[in-house]
Amino acid sequence: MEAGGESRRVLLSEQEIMQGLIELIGELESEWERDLSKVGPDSYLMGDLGCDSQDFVMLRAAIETKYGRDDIPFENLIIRDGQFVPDIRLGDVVKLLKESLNSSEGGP
Amino acid sequence: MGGVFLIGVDGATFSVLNRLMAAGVMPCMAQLVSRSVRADLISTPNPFTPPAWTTMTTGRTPGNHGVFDFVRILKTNGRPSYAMATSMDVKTDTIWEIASRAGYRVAALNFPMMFPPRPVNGFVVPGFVPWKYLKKHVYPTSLYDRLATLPGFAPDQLLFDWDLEREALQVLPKEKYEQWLRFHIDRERLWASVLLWLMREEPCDLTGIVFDGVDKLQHLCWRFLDPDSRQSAASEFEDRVRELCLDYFRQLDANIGEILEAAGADAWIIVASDHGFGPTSEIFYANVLLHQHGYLEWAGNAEQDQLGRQANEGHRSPLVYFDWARTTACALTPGSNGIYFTPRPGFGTAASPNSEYRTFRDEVAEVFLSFRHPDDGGQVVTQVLTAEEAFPGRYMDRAPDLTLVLRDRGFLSVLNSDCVVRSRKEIAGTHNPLGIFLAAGPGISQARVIDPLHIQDVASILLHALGLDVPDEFEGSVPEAFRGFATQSGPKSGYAVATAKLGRLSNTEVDEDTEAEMIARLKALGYLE
Repeated sequence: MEAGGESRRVLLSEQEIMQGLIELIGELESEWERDLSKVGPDSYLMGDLGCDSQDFVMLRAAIETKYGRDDIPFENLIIRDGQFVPDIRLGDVVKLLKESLNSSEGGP
Repeated sequence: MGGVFLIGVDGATFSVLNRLMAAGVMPCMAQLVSRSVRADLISTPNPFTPPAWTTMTTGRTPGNHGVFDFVRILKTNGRPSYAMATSMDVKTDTIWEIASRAGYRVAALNFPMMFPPRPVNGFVVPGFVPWKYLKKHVYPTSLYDRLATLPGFAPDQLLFDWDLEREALQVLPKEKYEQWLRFHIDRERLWASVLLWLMREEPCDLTGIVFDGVDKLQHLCWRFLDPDSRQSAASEFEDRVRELCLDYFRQLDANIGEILEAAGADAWIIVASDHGFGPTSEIFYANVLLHQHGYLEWAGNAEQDQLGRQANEGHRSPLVYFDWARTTACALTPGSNGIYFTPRPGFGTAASPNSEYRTFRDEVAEVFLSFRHPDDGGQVVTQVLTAEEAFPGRYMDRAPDLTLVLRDRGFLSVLNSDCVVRSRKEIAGTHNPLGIFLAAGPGISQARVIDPLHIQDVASILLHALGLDVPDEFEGSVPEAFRGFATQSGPKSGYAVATAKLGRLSNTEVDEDTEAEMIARLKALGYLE
């Protein structure tokens, strides 16, 4: 999936988004040499992948670049009831991306 | 060797450099000044690193290139969203891309807003990113393995530690000063080594580098550099820190000297800073004032700052500070000095202001302009700029609704506090609008001072120096002092060809025929397969 308009014309499945997310995590950072074959929707970014808040900032930027979208409401993932959540489940990231990328609005 | 060089020195100001040159600390810079056209360089309306460097390297003002801060703030979803700004936020072509498409070879080292790197005909090592992300985000990616063979190369020394730099900007313990200063001395040396290696192994037509340690050092150590800012008799600690500061500038000078020598007499050299610097003596808690006037409600977890900090530690969004149901205006980042209005249905925007928006904006602006310091009675916020005034352009809606100018040019604090304004325990450094500009090279007058330039002029001058026409959409111009002179009339021959998939941004005004012609030219020159 290339960045930009394609993401708004082709509906992405959760499986495709999860696969793309795992690929991004693998590509993003040389220090994340982990067994990504075991990563799934129930994996947690911090607890299971060792991601810290800085890593999440970079992952978010990589997701935005990959899909050419700068309007994905990640705040809905990281803030609940006015508080930061302690960790983020990959399945929740996928759900957010599915809703955002398959919507007809948005894009840079 | 020849070519065109942009040596960026983040935050450099003549008020500091003049003293250092006069004292013999920076002989190479002094020699360069003696053969340069020199000018003050007027920064972007909010003189801040991300918009300013982006303007310098795009020729566009922030309202048109889209970068206002290290973060991107979008006014959606009933409250602003907040994310790290990346190269995707630069909505126009850069000089690196324009020169690449014309067949020139380029190298850009340590510039902000270049992560992830966009393809060029040449090399990009992005700056202002965590070091552990460097390996997979240089351009081309094969460059990293070559850099790794350089003696002393260490990615964790090339790029800084975000946490440590944030601490240094706010409250760095005395025992960490020496280590921090030595880190930046070594770090700048490493960047210079990378550049010198590229100049030897992969010479380019247009080469740029940013040395950003000057900015960091001046923020923390202004009182050691500016005799007028000393508050007490020098202690042993202060003497030691001041000497380390001078060591930093000696090393920077040596770095520049080596680059000048390697570039040779045929090269065009431009030294420029993104903004100037000066002292700041107080902390202004903008959100406290907004709270006092009913525009902002703190969330229950917003602690009061007692330390004179501008933001909390870590990389977390400030969005949890506020009760959004009862907040209509807030400051989200210190560097932008910006006030953002909470988006709400029927409320206008800067680009489409309705009467409700205008009335609200005038009211909030008046709150800041009418505030007086409780001790001295002085006006603390000396100017409030609307988005239309400061950042007109296609991306104005991404800019703060209001931009504050404080009387000491300091950055505001976004934190809660028990007061609106507080004196700093130590005088620190802050940005001011007047940066530096020096240009030397064939045909350029020596030791000539010209009227102040605007930062967007630098991009025009650089393309002109390459022999390229300045694009119509550029907002700067080529001053008379540089007209008619160019180092070359086309790309140098004999350079190895980097694989370049040169994209074009959708909003640039180049038609398909022109693009096809450029591609044909690149192919003819052997730059594209």
